[in-house]
Amino acid sequence: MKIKYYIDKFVVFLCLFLLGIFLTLQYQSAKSFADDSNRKDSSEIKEYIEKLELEREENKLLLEENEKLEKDFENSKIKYYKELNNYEIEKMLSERDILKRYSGLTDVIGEGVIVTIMDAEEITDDLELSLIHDMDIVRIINVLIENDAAAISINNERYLNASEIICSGPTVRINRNYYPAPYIIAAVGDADVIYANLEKSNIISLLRNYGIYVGIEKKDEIEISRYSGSVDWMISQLKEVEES
Amino acid sequence: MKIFKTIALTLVCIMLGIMLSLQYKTIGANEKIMTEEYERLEDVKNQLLTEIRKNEELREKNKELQDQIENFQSASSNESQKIEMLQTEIERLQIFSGFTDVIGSGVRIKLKRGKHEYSSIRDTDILKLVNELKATGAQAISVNGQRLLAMSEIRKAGNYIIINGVQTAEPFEVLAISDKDKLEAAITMTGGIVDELELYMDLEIEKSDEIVIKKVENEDLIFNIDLLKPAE
Repeated sequence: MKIKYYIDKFVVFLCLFLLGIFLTLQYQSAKSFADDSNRKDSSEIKEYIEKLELEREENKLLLEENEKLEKDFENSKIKYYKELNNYEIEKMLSERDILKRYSGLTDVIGEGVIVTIMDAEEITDDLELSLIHDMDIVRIINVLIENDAAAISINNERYLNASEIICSGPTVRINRNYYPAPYIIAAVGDADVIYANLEKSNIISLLRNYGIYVGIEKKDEIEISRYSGSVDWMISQLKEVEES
Repeated sequence: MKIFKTIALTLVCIMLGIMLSLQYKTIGANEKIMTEEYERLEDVKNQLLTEIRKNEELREKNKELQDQIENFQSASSNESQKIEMLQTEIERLQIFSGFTDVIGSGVRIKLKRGKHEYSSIRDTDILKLVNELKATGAQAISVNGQRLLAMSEIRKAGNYIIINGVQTAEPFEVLAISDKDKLEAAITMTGGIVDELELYMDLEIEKSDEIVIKKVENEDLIFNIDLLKPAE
């Protein structure tokens, strides 16, 4: 009888002991979360956002400078070569112009379509399906090209011969730059044809099915900027084959 | 007395249970909020890195441009040198836009339909493989001899796949030029694109120092020069 009494006592003691431990644990985790990590993180984010804004402002200035320099250089070159008054050189100049237009190194303007895609607002059963993936963008672009788009950009990043569109965490990498959703795809081409066929395409209905927002807009005039970076990273390993 | 004790014990145990589940839940919820915040932070960090890289590149490019302008305008370069500069620029543009045959280190990937009759190779499979190759730094890519450019479509039509307006069919040979070891490592990593495709097709990967990729042939089918009006 005496042993049972002690066992009972011990069980009660153990239960209360554990209760106490959990109580403090619960309190502590709630407290530490509230006043430590939370505030630290949001102030860290603020700091980064401020830095980001500074960099963006600088980017604007640098782009303006770049534009001016390129224009100056271009003008002085053209002026010089034209003054040579040589038919061969005229031909070279027009070849240069065409090549630049083909390869995305010229700002182009024309009618076209703007496609905006955003992650689903309400997450359905499967989180993965509610988010935009690299292949979704690749497939949309492929539809644009099938319908004879002449120039394409994604979030203002010109789509070039070697452009990759690849998921990297919550962002997508294009021309080695990282962009979060939403994605704005601009295409110059026959607006009616592209619009109609895009609306009919499998990929668009698939995305809409999963709750991903896809907006397609026809425009009379879209300007697509040239690629303003250096193209070295896209040709550094290519050697011309010597003709034999 | 004994009943009283039992009730007390039960009560304590119930409370213990409630506390336990509560604790578990808060920790779970906190973790969720923390990961969300962490993701947002990562997001902003990534954007910042992008902007910093863009600015660095622009600064470099602007400096380069200034040097080029000075060089061009200075009397030190004579007429023939200036014409040579134009020639070099055009050659670079030809390489960049796919108008010359190019050679370099890279990989040759052969794709063949797997054992199952139903598993024909889809356009999206090729699109995906090509995109992975680009992500690893491939600078020139061709599929069955068709050089892939920005405006090249890859579209299934019946048993064929149409690339640059040309019909091609299985087996497919994909060529890519870049660092061959890096390319191979990236596509063959565990859970990577090759693992995924190998489920329903046969793949053969071969590294080589001399991958030759032909220039684009039917440029009229790829480019739409009428639509490429320069903006001024």
